[in-house]
Amino acid sequence: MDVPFLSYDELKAIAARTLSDSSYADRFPVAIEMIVERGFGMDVVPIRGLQNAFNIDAFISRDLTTISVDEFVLENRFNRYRFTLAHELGHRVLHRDILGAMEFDSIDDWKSQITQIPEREYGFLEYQANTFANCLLVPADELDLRFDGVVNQIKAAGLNPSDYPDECLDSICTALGKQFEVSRNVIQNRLTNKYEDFESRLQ
Amino acid sequence: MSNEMVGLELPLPPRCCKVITTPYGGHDMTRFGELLKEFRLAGGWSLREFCSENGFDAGNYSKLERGRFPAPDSDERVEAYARALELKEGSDQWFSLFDAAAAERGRLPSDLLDDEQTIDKLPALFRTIRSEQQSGGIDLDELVERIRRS
Repeated sequence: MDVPFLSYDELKAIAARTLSDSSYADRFPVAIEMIVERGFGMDVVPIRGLQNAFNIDAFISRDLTTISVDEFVLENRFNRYRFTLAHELGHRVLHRDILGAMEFDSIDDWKSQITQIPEREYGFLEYQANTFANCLLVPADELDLRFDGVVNQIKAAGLNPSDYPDECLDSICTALGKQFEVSRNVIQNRLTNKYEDFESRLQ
Repeated sequence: MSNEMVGLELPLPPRCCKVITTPYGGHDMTRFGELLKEFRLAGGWSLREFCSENGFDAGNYSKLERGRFPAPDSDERVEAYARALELKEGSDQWFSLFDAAAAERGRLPSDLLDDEQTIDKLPALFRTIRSEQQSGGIDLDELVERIRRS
């Protein structure tokens, strides 16, 4: 399996284009469920016990038309569900050719092939899908705007962000996570990414 | 990417009641199920939102939309879906849902996907945790079985 290299900026651009090409570009927070279901015409199939029994939140089907998702996550873990959909959509958008080239003659053939994907390549695929999901759910322009908004709130409260950068970052991640309907970790990964400049803006 | 985006406006479905074949592993999706999904999406509801707002089980409702469950036997149940979808009573959409349900009564969908259908729905990617695989921590046969029933 040959996974083409995609830089952070390329992944960010693909995610932005996916959003702008959809009918939901003007929705905030990002309408990931509708992008998946209506925009891409995919089925969401809840499966009970997927997480407990197999340690899987969700997966995209071989024919790329279905995202099967742990039913508990769908019903009770809203932010995680949103990220999961965006991640699986990332595989469809980014890895269509790679996944389309996989052919299974039988279920046994699938079992033998699917566990043979090299860890390194699997890691690349996952990194790309995670980065895509992060950038899709947290669009750059909205992040810029809302980051500044929270920083201004901190300043208005009489605090200087450069004196307490870690504490401020923590507060910003929590506040923006709620606004974007993602976990605070998604925001943190974005703000502390070496290809972004948010941390320097706190100095 | 963008060229595969589905059309923005869903047309009013014709009043016909046929069983059609869909991409869902070649499984027969019913006109009733297809209409449920069309009307839900046209109303702007995701599966999760719609089921949560109306107290439906998302897994079962998804099966209904995909033709894995038969259309309800009773008009009362069809009416409950029509009202949840906010269809106007007496409208073409309203009647098309009832017509489709009536046309499909008595149809018994298969409990399980066959092998060919199942293969299409298997995970395209799977975490390669060899230690877990070797220790039998992940039962792939059980996973396949759950997909067959989904």
